Amino acid sequence: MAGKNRFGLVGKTALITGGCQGLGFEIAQNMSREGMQVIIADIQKKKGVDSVEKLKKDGGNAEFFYVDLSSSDSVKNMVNEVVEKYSQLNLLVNNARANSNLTGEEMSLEDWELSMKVSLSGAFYCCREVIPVMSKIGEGCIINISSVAATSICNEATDYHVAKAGLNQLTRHLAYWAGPKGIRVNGVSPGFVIKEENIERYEADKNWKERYEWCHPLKRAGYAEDISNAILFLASDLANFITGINLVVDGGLTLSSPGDLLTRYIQENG
Amino acid sequence: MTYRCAAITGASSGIGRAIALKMAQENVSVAIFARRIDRLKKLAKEIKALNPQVMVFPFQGDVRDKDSIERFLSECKANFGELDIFINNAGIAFTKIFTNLNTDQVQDLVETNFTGSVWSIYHVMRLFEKRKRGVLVNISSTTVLKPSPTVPLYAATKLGIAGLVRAMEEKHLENKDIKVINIIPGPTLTELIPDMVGEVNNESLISPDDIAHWTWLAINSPKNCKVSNLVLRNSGKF
Repeated sequence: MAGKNRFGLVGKTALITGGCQGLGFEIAQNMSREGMQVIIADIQKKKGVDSVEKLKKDGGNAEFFYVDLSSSDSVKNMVNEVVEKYSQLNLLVNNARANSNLTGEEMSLEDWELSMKVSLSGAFYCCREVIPVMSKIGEGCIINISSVAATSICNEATDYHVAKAGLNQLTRHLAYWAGPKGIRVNGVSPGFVIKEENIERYEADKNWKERYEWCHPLKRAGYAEDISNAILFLASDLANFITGINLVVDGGLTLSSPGDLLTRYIQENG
Repeated sequence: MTYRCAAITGASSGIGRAIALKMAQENVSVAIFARRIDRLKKLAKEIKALNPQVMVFPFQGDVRDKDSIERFLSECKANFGELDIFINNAGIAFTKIFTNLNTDQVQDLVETNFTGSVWSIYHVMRLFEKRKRGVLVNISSTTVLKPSPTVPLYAATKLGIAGLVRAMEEKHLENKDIKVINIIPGPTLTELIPDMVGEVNNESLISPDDIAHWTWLAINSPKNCKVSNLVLRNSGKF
């Protein structure tokens, strides 16, 4: 299909959890610019309302709904309210997370539990509520934001690595069982993504930039736009035969092995 | 419920044109379909001037051609995305005793008003049923309510389509997200009038803007209280 609706998303409805800031907001913005009705679900009310205002100023259609992803009741209520108003949901992006950035030894048990509840269970609760809604029209798309941390060790955050690994298998399992209902479920795994507030520094600080260039075959760190474009593709009609995959968007970061990195380092530094 | 875009057949004049303008006023983007592309382009300019925020998509087509409507809907999807509202309005009329119509006129009336509407409703309901949402508005006529000596074949085509529309309405009555609305105007001040009733003063006719006003209200009825048939009358003569 040619025309402005090449992705087949214009006029459809997208629900993005954690959509009021960071990557979530970038995703919301990309979908909004593509002509989707965007619903931002987040626990932060003020940021949620502000982000919706930004999208509207940009010419989009957006609304904020409060949700506490650690509570299955809250998720159920939120999805019910959304469906009450918009009748249908065509795209769910499970983006929200709560992570401690601490190792298993350092974090508290509360941190661990909250992290699992929001980052992993939260995604599950949303899928659980949204899949029946999508089944009614026999089509839908769910995208889980994972991370290369699901399969490689990136930093200290034990909970993050575990939640993302769990999310990857959730993607595959749901793709298998929701496929016959016309629902595609896919994951996107970003590598290093420069946060918006750090972009200026990244562009300006040669040393910092060089470190990223060194470990990426594509010689740069990622931007939120790289991730949101991958999501746009997976959500679109162009990806109609793709389900159960995990699309790694990391500029080649995870291609190398420690041995290869060591060899390169020795070669370059003597 | 926010309606984002609507498609209107027979939009180059009369009721179709008035509905297109009303939609645009209410921030609904419009795809306007008619045979007269010059009129459509003029209307598109008017709409953009009225509300620069809405999109307008003029499409030259003929409802008598089954592929024309199908292509129209396909291009609506390509340009607009999901269609919310379809106004089945295209129609013609001749005021003649039935047996005095020439064969071309008989054929035109049946093919435009009846067959054309069948193709429109067929393609649109397939779309709406697949998505399980959508609003179909059929522009009917009070000539379906009682015998019509002045426009018998016109009345027959309208009555035939009324049968199809009410079947669609019944089928989706309990579906909150599909509305099928039958608007039944008495004689309205449109280009059909000189052909329809000969000498008549404009005060006894309804304004297309009023039809558009009530159509918009009917479309926006609450989901659990849908407008089924809406008769709009002025003069008791017709």
